[in-house]
Amino acid sequence: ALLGIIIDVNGAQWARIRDQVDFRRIISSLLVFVNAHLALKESNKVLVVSCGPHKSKILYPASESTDSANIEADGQMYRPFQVVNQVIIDAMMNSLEESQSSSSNSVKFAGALSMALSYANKLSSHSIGHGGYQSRILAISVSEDEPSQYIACMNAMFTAQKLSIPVDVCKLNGNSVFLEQIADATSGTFLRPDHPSGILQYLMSVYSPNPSIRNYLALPSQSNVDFRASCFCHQKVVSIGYVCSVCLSVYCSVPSTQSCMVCGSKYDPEEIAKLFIKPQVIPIKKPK
Amino acid sequence: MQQAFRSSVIEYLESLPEPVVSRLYQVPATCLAVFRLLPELGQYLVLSILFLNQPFKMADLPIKSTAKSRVALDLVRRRLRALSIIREHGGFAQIHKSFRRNFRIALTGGDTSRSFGVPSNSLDKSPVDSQFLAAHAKRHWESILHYMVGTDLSDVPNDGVLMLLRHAGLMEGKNLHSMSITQAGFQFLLQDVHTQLWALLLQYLSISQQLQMDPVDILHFIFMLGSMQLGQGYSLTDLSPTQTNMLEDLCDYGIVYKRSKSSRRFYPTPLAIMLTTDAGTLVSPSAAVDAANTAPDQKTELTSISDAAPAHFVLLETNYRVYAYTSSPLQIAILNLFVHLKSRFPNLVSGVITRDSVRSALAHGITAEQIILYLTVHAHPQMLRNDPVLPGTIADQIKLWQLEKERMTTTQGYLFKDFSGPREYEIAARYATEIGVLTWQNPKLRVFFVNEAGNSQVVDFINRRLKK
Repeated sequence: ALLGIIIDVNGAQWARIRDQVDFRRIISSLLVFVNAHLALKESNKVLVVSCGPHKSKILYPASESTDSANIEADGQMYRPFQVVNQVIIDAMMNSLEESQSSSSNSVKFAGALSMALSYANKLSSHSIGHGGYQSRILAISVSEDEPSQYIACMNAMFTAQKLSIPVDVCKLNGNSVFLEQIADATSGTFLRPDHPSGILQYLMSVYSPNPSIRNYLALPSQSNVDFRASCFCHQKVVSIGYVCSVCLSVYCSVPSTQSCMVCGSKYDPEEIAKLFIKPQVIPIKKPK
Repeated sequence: MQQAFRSSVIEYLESLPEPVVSRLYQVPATCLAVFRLLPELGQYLVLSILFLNQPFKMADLPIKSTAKSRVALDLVRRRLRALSIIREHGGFAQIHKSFRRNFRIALTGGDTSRSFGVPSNSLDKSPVDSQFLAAHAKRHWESILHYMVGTDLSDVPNDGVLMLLRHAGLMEGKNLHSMSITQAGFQFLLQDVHTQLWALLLQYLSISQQLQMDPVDILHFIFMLGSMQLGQGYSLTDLSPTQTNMLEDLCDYGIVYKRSKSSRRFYPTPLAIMLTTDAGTLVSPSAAVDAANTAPDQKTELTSISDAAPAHFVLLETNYRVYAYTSSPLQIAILNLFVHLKSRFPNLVSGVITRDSVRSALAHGITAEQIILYLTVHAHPQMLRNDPVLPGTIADQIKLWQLEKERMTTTQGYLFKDFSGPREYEIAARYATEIGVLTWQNPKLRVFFVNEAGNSQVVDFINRRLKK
């Protein structure tokens, strides 16, 4: 089984909740959670992706294979745990430094999710035979949504749905409609912990079960998800709008070019004109 | 097969008394190994209460209230109680203190008891690499299996190994050097390496109790071996005398490698690494070698999974023909037990499954399920794409051939005949029916048949009542 972790490294957003929880505590709780996942079965694997305001990066498994040679064995810890922990810590510190300078309050989530999904797909296509390869993704987020990411996020969400990979979300700060929708569509768990400093217990009790035993558990979930779509032209949230009949993309108003921006199909000008006919007002006949 | 492995180790652990189990949990490596043996829901339960510091209410667990969930939860609770991991009273449950402390240490680091093995960082004058260890393991392990099958081999296993085989009931014979394989031995041959390893180790544990070796120490060592890295040497410091003695025996099975009796370091082989693995793809020492050769943090980890192909080599067609892409004499000998092999090529052996070949296997004590399991476990990746893996006709036919042997059941006993009149027959037959020993009767011929156990009673009755 694979556990993919997408961790938000937007330094500014983490600084906002500095009084509630320290980022280092999050990292150490996360490492214990990773160890617990690896402890479940020898064949379990983990993937850690850092998701920043400008780019996403895979922290573990790292592409250079120099890690285990450099980390000295001291017999104090189960070796696989030690290697994983050390690599993640080093890589995480690097990526946090890089993102200190930015000032945006959102992260490029779609990219990170796509990276995680392609890794999961690679592993499952390589596994031998009986029964599928179980994967799941956990996203720890403190940032807001970025409207321009709508299309990419939704595409990634549908991919996760197709691959039956649940995406759980742990929201420590900020509002994100996209993440709520993603968790709901992939039957993952969405949670907003009340006590972020106790994050380890949240991870262990809510986010540790595999999809196969989630059938037996009643995990907390979000019931009112805002399912409104955003329009493709201005990224505004719309509840009533126009939909292209060919590619089903959503618009808040008819595109000025009278053709769809996504698929390029031209609309019949007469039909468009019919949309704007004002209703005829029939004068009321006064009764004689 | 995984269930079989789990159940035998867990059963052994459950059979240990509570103080022994408490001592077992004082070491992080053992806690980790026991944790891996638990069922999935049990693992979730342990994780969710591990970092709590006070007793918790069972009702607080987020288990659904459907019947299926409740049944699953009860099963898990029973198992956890049997292993003394959880103690329940009232509605509250508490996790075993040592287990909690040491499992936390396993997850967070800081293990001062060196339970994961002390790596020897001093330079080895002539280092060994994983290929050598794999070959060493394969040679020793296969020599044991070859000895059981009866192929001629120059290196016969050690006396210690032979004694273990005899104690386990896998081979029998008065003379240690001329034993023959038993029914249990045949079944043993058809299992995967994992199950075989643990079967032998559990037998070793039961012998050790007679030899005054501490089973807790032995279990600690076994679980320590399971958590070691291949290719890393470990030093003998911090091992108890029991464990050092055990090391010699384990060398004979091919589980560890030690250059000489006085060497201060040892290397675990792929067989040791797979002690706590549950991967179902490790069905032979060669597969264990392939899977362990590529360390987890190398780029080639993905190709190693497909390299486990040598252990998946059997193709079974619907016309009962078998093609096995192997050249290992051991696997060919095992196939020979129930397949009528017809031709042999450098990389391929082919034959037919016939009624006679299956019947001879059944005569040796192998069951149809084991044959089918063996074929399924060693099936070629191309076969794995079928659903079910083996053609239904073949599987059913093997089972039918087994049923053919059960057409008749025999009962030993005595036939009563030559009654002087119908009344006598009536009385005797009714008495026999009343005490429940009558097996068959034919009133027309006035004969009835009584099983062996009840014979004396019926004879006494007849002597008393009818001879007057």
